[in-house]
Amino acid sequence: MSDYNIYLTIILMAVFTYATRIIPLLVIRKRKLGERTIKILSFIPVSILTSLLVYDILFKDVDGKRELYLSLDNDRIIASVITFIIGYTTKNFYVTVIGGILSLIIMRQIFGY
Amino acid sequence: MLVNKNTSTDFLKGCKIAFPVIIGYIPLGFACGVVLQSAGLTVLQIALMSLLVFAGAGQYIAAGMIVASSPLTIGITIFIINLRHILYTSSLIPYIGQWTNIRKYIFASEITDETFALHSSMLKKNETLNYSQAMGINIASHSAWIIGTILGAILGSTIPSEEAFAIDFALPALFIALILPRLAHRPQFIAAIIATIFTIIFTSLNMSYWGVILTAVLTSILTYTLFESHR
Repeated sequence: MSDYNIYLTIILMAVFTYATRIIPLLVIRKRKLGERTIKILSFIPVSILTSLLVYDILFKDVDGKRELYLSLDNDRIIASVITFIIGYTTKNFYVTVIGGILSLIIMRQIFGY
Repeated sequence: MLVNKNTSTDFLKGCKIAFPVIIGYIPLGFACGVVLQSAGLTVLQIALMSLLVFAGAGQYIAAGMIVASSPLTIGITIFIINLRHILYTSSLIPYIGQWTNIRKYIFASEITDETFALHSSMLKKNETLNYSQAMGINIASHSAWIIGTILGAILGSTIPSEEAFAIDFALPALFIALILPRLAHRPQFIAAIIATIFTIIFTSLNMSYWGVILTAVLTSILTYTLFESHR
Protein backbone atom coordinates (compact mmCIF):
# COMPACT_ATOMS: atom_id res chain seq x y z
CA MET A 1 0.00 0.00 0.00
CA SER A 2 1.31 3.47 -0.87
CA ASP A 3 1.96 6.06 1.84
CA TYR A 4 -0.97 8.07 0.52
CA ASN A 5 -3.29 5.08 0.90
CA ILE A 6 -2.01 4.33 4.39
CA TYR A 7 -2.82 7.86 5.55
CA LEU A 8 -6.19 7.64 3.80
CA THR A 9 -6.84 4.33 5.61
CA ILE A 10 -5.95 5.87 8.97
CA ILE A 11 -8.26 8.83 8.36
CA LEU A 12 -11.16 6.60 7.25
CA MET A 13 -10.65 4.34 10.26
CA ALA A 14 -10.70 7.40 12.52
CA VAL A 15 -13.87 8.81 10.95
CA PHE A 16 -15.74 5.48 10.98
CA THR A 17 -14.70 4.68 14.55
CA TYR A 18 -15.63 8.16 15.79
CA ALA A 19 -19.00 7.69 14.10
CA THR A 20 -19.69 4.56 16.18
CA ARG A 21 -18.96 6.60 19.31
CA ILE A 22 -21.11 9.64 18.55
CA ILE A 23 -24.13 8.20 16.70
CA PRO A 24 -26.16 8.12 19.96
CA LEU A 25 -25.27 11.77 20.65
CA LEU A 26 -26.55 12.75 17.20
CA VAL A 27 -29.70 10.63 17.37
CA ILE A 28 -30.83 11.15 20.97
CA ARG A 29 -29.92 14.87 21.04
CA LYS A 30 -33.32 16.50 21.44
CA ARG A 31 -35.48 13.90 23.10
CA LYS A 32 -34.99 12.93 26.71
CA LEU A 33 -34.65 9.20 27.27
CA GLY A 34 -37.69 7.59 28.85
CA GLU A 35 -37.66 5.82 32.20
CA ARG A 36 -37.98 2.44 30.49
CA THR A 37 -35.06 3.03 28.10
CA ILE A 38 -32.85 4.14 30.98
CA LYS A 39 -33.73 0.98 32.91
CA ILE A 40 -32.97 -1.26 29.94
CA LEU A 41 -29.69 0.57 29.36
CA SER A 42 -28.74 0.00 33.01
CA PHE A 43 -28.18 -3.67 32.14
CA ILE A 44 -25.80 -2.90 29.27
CA PRO A 45 -22.60 -2.57 31.36
CA VAL A 46 -22.96 -5.88 33.21
CA SER A 47 -23.96 -7.78 30.05
CA ILE A 48 -21.16 -6.30 27.92
CA LEU A 49 -18.51 -6.90 30.60
CA THR A 50 -19.69 -10.47 31.15
CA SER A 51 -19.86 -11.10 27.41
CA LEU A 52 -16.33 -9.81 26.75
CA LEU A 53 -15.03 -11.83 29.70
CA VAL A 54 -16.72 -15.06 28.61
CA TYR A 55 -15.58 -14.52 25.00
CA ASP A 56 -12.02 -14.07 26.18
CA ILE A 57 -11.75 -16.69 28.96
CA LEU A 58 -13.96 -19.63 27.98
CA PHE A 59 -12.82 -19.73 24.33
CA LYS A 60 -9.56 -20.01 22.45
CA ASP A 61 -8.51 -19.41 18.86
CA VAL A 62 -8.33 -22.56 16.75
CA ASP A 63 -7.61 -21.98 13.06
CA GLY A 64 -9.01 -18.47 13.23
CA LYS A 65 -12.23 -19.59 14.94
CA ARG A 66 -13.22 -19.30 18.57
CA GLU A 67 -13.68 -22.70 20.15
CA LEU A 68 -15.07 -23.46 23.59
CA TYR A 69 -12.17 -24.33 25.90
CA LEU A 70 -13.69 -25.73 29.09
CA SER A 71 -10.78 -27.63 30.61
CA LEU A 72 -8.59 -27.64 33.69
CA ASP A 73 -5.73 -26.95 31.27
CA ASN A 74 -7.32 -23.57 30.66
CA ASP A 75 -5.36 -21.73 33.35
CA ARG A 76 -7.29 -18.50 32.74
CA ILE A 77 -10.55 -20.11 33.90
CA ILE A 78 -8.89 -21.15 37.16
CA ALA A 79 -7.37 -17.68 37.55
CA SER A 80 -10.81 -16.16 36.95
CA VAL A 81 -12.33 -18.25 39.74
CA ILE A 82 -9.50 -17.20 42.06
CA THR A 83 -10.01 -13.55 41.06
CA PHE A 84 -13.74 -13.81 41.82
CA ILE A 85 -12.95 -15.29 45.24
CA ILE A 86 -10.36 -12.60 46.03
CA GLY A 87 -12.85 -9.93 44.96
CA TYR A 88 -15.70 -11.43 46.94
CA THR A 89 -13.69 -11.70 50.15
CA THR A 90 -11.65 -8.47 50.01
CA LYS A 91 -14.18 -6.21 48.24
CA ASN A 92 -11.17 -4.19 47.13
CA PHE A 93 -10.84 -3.19 43.48
CA TYR A 94 -7.04 -3.00 43.20
CA VAL A 95 -6.39 -6.07 45.37
CA THR A 96 -8.73 -8.00 43.09
CA VAL A 97 -7.04 -6.96 39.84
CA ILE A 98 -3.47 -7.39 41.09
CA GLY A 99 -4.28 -10.55 43.08
CA GLY A 100 -5.88 -12.05 39.97
CA ILE A 101 -2.83 -11.36 37.79
CA LEU A 102 -0.47 -12.63 40.51
CA SER A 103 -2.45 -15.87 40.88
CA LEU A 104 -1.92 -16.63 37.19
CA ILE A 105 1.78 -15.70 37.33
CA ILE A 106 2.22 -18.08 40.29
CA MET A 107 0.33 -20.84 38.48
CA ARG A 108 2.49 -20.46 35.37
CA GLN A 109 5.88 -19.87 37.05
CA ILE A 110 5.64 -22.27 39.98
CA PHE A 111 3.10 -24.88 38.97
CA GLY A 112 4.18 -24.92 35.34
CA TYR A 113 0.78 -24.30 33.77
CA MET B 1 -5.27 29.89 31.84
CA LEU B 2 -5.92 29.22 35.48
CA VAL B 3 -6.68 25.64 36.25
CA ASN B 4 -9.33 25.14 38.88
CA LYS B 5 -7.90 23.14 41.77
CA ASN B 6 -10.89 20.79 41.94
CA THR B 7 -10.66 20.19 38.22
CA SER B 8 -7.06 19.01 38.40
CA THR B 9 -7.68 16.91 41.52
CA ASP B 10 -10.61 15.18 39.80
CA PHE B 11 -8.54 14.71 36.65
CA LEU B 12 -5.74 13.04 38.63
CA LYS B 13 -8.29 10.89 40.42
CA GLY B 14 -9.49 9.73 37.00
CA CYS B 15 -5.91 8.86 36.02
CA LYS B 16 -5.57 6.75 39.17
CA ILE B 17 -8.86 4.95 38.49
CA ALA B 18 -7.48 4.11 35.04
CA PHE B 19 -4.48 2.31 36.54
CA PRO B 20 -5.61 -1.28 35.75
CA VAL B 21 -6.45 -0.26 32.19
CA ILE B 22 -3.00 1.32 31.80
CA ILE B 23 -1.39 -1.93 33.00
CA GLY B 24 -3.36 -3.80 30.36
CA TYR B 25 -3.04 -1.29 27.51
CA ILE B 26 0.74 -0.93 27.42
CA PRO B 27 1.42 -4.62 26.60
CA LEU B 28 -1.69 -4.92 24.38
CA GLY B 29 -0.65 -1.74 22.55
CA PHE B 30 2.87 -3.09 22.34
CA ALA B 31 1.67 -6.26 20.60
CA CYS B 32 -0.52 -4.19 18.28
CA GLY B 33 2.46 -1.94 17.44
CA VAL B 34 4.55 -4.99 16.54
CA VAL B 35 1.83 -6.28 14.20
CA LEU B 36 1.27 -2.89 12.55
CA GLN B 37 4.99 -2.39 12.09
CA SER B 38 5.39 -5.75 10.40
CA ALA B 39 2.42 -4.83 8.15
CA GLY B 40 4.65 -2.05 6.84
CA LEU B 41 3.57 1.04 8.79
CA THR B 42 6.12 3.57 10.05
CA VAL B 43 6.34 4.57 13.71
CA LEU B 44 4.75 7.93 12.86
CA GLN B 45 1.84 6.28 11.06
CA ILE B 46 1.29 3.87 13.96
CA ALA B 47 1.35 6.71 16.49
CA LEU B 48 -1.09 8.70 14.35
CA MET B 49 -3.44 5.73 14.08
CA SER B 50 -3.40 5.15 17.85
CA LEU B 51 -4.02 8.85 18.45
CA LEU B 52 -6.91 9.20 15.99
CA VAL B 53 -8.53 5.76 16.07
CA PHE B 54 -7.86 4.35 19.57
CA ALA B 55 -9.61 1.03 19.03
CA GLY B 56 -7.60 -2.06 19.91
CA ALA B 57 -9.43 -4.80 18.05
CA GLY B 58 -9.96 -2.53 15.04
CA GLN B 59 -6.27 -1.67 14.78
CA TYR B 60 -5.23 -5.32 15.03
CA ILE B 61 -7.59 -6.23 12.22
CA ALA B 62 -6.46 -3.27 10.12
CA ALA B 63 -2.91 -4.61 10.38
CA GLY B 64 -4.06 -7.87 8.85
CA MET B 65 -5.95 -6.13 6.04
CA ILE B 66 -3.61 -3.31 5.10
CA VAL B 67 -1.55 -5.31 2.62
CA ALA B 68 -4.44 -6.53 0.50
CA SER B 69 -7.55 -4.39 1.08
CA SER B 70 -8.62 -0.93 -0.04
CA PRO B 71 -8.81 1.93 2.49
CA LEU B 72 -12.61 2.04 2.23
CA THR B 73 -12.99 -1.72 2.84
CA ILE B 74 -10.83 -1.41 5.94
CA GLY B 75 -12.83 1.62 7.12
CA ILE B 76 -16.16 -0.20 6.76
CA THR B 77 -14.83 -3.35 8.46
CA ILE B 78 -13.61 -1.28 11.40
CA PHE B 79 -17.01 0.43 11.54
CA ILE B 80 -18.77 -2.93 11.90
CA ILE B 81 -16.32 -4.23 14.49
CA ASN B 82 -16.76 -1.07 16.55
CA LEU B 83 -20.55 -0.88 16.39
CA ARG B 84 -20.69 -1.92 20.04
CA HIS B 85 -19.53 1.63 20.90
CA ILE B 86 -23.08 2.71 20.10
CA LEU B 87 -24.29 0.78 23.13
CA TYR B 88 -21.63 2.39 25.32
CA THR B 89 -22.39 6.00 24.45
CA SER B 90 -26.15 5.31 24.61
CA SER B 91 -25.98 3.91 28.12
CA LEU B 92 -23.81 6.83 29.32
CA ILE B 93 -26.08 9.53 27.85
CA PRO B 94 -28.40 9.76 30.91
CA TYR B 95 -25.34 10.61 33.00
CA ILE B 96 -23.74 13.27 30.76
CA GLY B 97 -26.89 15.17 29.84
CA GLN B 98 -25.83 18.26 31.83
CA TRP B 99 -22.52 18.64 29.97
CA THR B 100 -22.03 21.09 27.10
CA ASN B 101 -22.18 19.55 23.63
CA ILE B 102 -18.46 20.09 22.99
CA ARG B 103 -17.61 18.17 26.15
CA LYS B 104 -19.89 15.30 25.16
CA TYR B 105 -18.24 14.99 21.74
CA ILE B 106 -14.70 15.19 23.14
CA PHE B 107 -15.51 12.62 25.83
CA ALA B 108 -17.13 10.21 23.37
CA SER B 109 -14.03 10.21 21.15
CA GLU B 110 -12.16 8.10 23.72
CA ILE B 111 -14.78 5.50 24.58
CA THR B 112 -13.49 1.92 24.35
CA ASP B 113 -14.49 -1.38 25.99
CA GLU B 114 -12.22 -0.64 28.91
CA THR B 115 -12.80 3.09 29.44
CA PHE B 116 -16.53 2.42 29.21
CA ALA B 117 -16.14 -0.31 31.81
CA LEU B 118 -14.53 2.19 34.18
CA HIS B 119 -17.09 4.93 33.50
CA SER B 120 -19.97 2.54 34.04
CA SER B 121 -18.62 1.70 37.49
CA MET B 122 -18.77 5.43 38.38
CA LEU B 123 -22.46 5.85 37.54
CA LYS B 124 -24.87 6.78 40.31
CA LYS B 125 -28.60 6.98 39.79
CA ASN B 126 -29.77 10.45 38.68
CA GLU B 127 -26.27 11.88 39.02
CA THR B 128 -24.13 13.50 36.34
CA LEU B 129 -20.66 12.05 35.75
CA ASN B 130 -17.77 14.26 36.83
CA TYR B 131 -16.31 15.58 33.56
CA SER B 132 -12.72 16.13 34.76
CA GLN B 133 -12.54 12.70 36.35
CA ALA B 134 -14.03 11.09 33.23
CA MET B 135 -11.45 12.86 31.06
CA GLY B 136 -8.69 11.74 33.44
CA ILE B 137 -9.77 8.14 32.86
CA ASN B 138 -9.94 8.67 29.09
CA ILE B 139 -6.68 10.56 28.59
CA ALA B 140 -4.62 8.31 30.89
CA SER B 141 -5.93 5.18 29.11
CA HIS B 142 -5.48 6.68 25.64
CA SER B 143 -1.90 7.77 26.49
CA ALA B 144 -1.04 4.26 27.66
CA TRP B 145 -2.39 2.87 24.38
CA ILE B 146 -0.38 5.34 22.27
CA ILE B 147 2.82 4.73 24.27
CA GLY B 148 2.32 0.95 24.08
CA THR B 149 1.90 0.91 20.29
CA ILE B 150 4.88 3.26 19.76
CA LEU B 151 7.07 1.03 21.95
CA GLY B 152 5.93 -2.02 20.00
CA ALA B 153 6.65 -0.28 16.70
CA ILE B 154 10.17 0.70 17.80
CA LEU B 155 11.27 -2.34 19.78
CA GLY B 156 9.53 -4.96 17.68
CA SER B 157 9.31 -8.49 19.00
CA THR B 158 12.46 -8.32 21.13
CA ILE B 159 10.61 -8.48 24.46
CA PRO B 160 9.92 -11.85 26.15
CA SER B 161 6.43 -13.28 25.91
CA GLU B 162 3.58 -11.64 27.79
CA GLU B 163 2.33 -15.06 28.88
CA ALA B 164 4.96 -15.62 31.57
CA PHE B 165 3.84 -12.45 33.38
CA ALA B 166 0.14 -13.14 32.87
CA ILE B 167 -0.27 -9.81 31.15
CA ASP B 168 -2.92 -11.46 28.96
CA PHE B 169 -5.00 -11.60 32.14
CA ALA B 170 -4.81 -7.89 33.09
CA LEU B 171 -8.02 -6.88 31.32
CA PRO B 172 -10.04 -10.00 32.26
CA ALA B 173 -9.04 -9.40 35.90
CA LEU B 174 -10.21 -5.80 35.54
CA PHE B 175 -13.53 -6.92 34.09
CA ILE B 176 -14.07 -9.34 36.98
CA ALA B 177 -13.32 -6.58 39.50
CA LEU B 178 -15.88 -4.36 37.77
CA ILE B 179 -18.56 -7.05 37.41
CA LEU B 180 -18.38 -8.27 41.03
CA PRO B 181 -19.89 -5.31 42.91
CA ARG B 182 -22.89 -5.38 40.56
CA LEU B 183 -23.74 -9.01 41.34
CA ALA B 184 -25.10 -8.12 44.79
CA HIS B 185 -28.10 -6.65 42.97
CA ARG B 186 -30.27 -9.60 41.90
CA PRO B 187 -31.41 -8.43 38.44
CA GLN B 188 -27.77 -7.59 37.57
CA PHE B 189 -26.72 -11.05 38.73
CA ILE B 190 -29.35 -12.68 36.50
CA ALA B 191 -28.23 -10.45 33.62
CA ALA B 192 -24.68 -11.78 34.03
CA ILE B 193 -25.94 -15.38 33.88
CA ILE B 194 -28.07 -14.70 30.80
CA ALA B 195 -25.18 -12.88 29.10
CA THR B 196 -22.90 -15.86 29.77
CA ILE B 197 -25.34 -18.24 28.08
CA PHE B 198 -25.92 -15.98 25.07
CA THR B 199 -22.18 -15.40 24.61
CA ILE B 200 -21.43 -19.13 24.67
CA ILE B 201 -24.15 -19.75 22.07
CA PHE B 202 -23.26 -16.84 19.75
CA THR B 203 -19.50 -17.37 19.97
CA SER B 204 -19.94 -21.07 19.25
CA LEU B 205 -21.89 -20.01 16.16
CA ASN B 206 -18.79 -17.99 15.23
CA MET B 207 -20.53 -14.62 15.47
CA SER B 208 -17.65 -12.93 17.36
CA TYR B 209 -18.31 -9.17 17.50
CA TRP B 210 -21.92 -9.34 16.45
CA GLY B 211 -22.39 -11.93 19.19
CA VAL B 212 -21.20 -9.50 21.86
CA ILE B 213 -23.53 -6.76 20.60
CA LEU B 214 -26.49 -9.11 20.30
CA THR B 215 -25.80 -10.56 23.76
CA ALA B 216 -25.86 -7.11 25.35
CA VAL B 217 -29.07 -6.03 23.63
CA LEU B 218 -30.98 -9.29 24.21
CA THR B 219 -29.78 -9.66 27.81
CA SER B 220 -30.77 -6.11 28.73
CA ILE B 221 -34.25 -6.38 27.24
CA LEU B 222 -34.83 -9.85 28.67
CA THR B 223 -33.67 -8.95 32.18
CA TYR B 224 -35.77 -5.79 32.09
CA THR B 225 -38.83 -7.79 31.05
CA LEU B 226 -38.23 -10.35 33.80
CA PHE B 227 -37.67 -7.95 36.66
CA GLU B 228 -38.55 -4.35 36.11
CA SER B 229 -41.40 -4.15 33.63
CA HIS B 230 -44.21 -5.00 36.04
CA ARG B 231 -43.02 -2.77 38.82
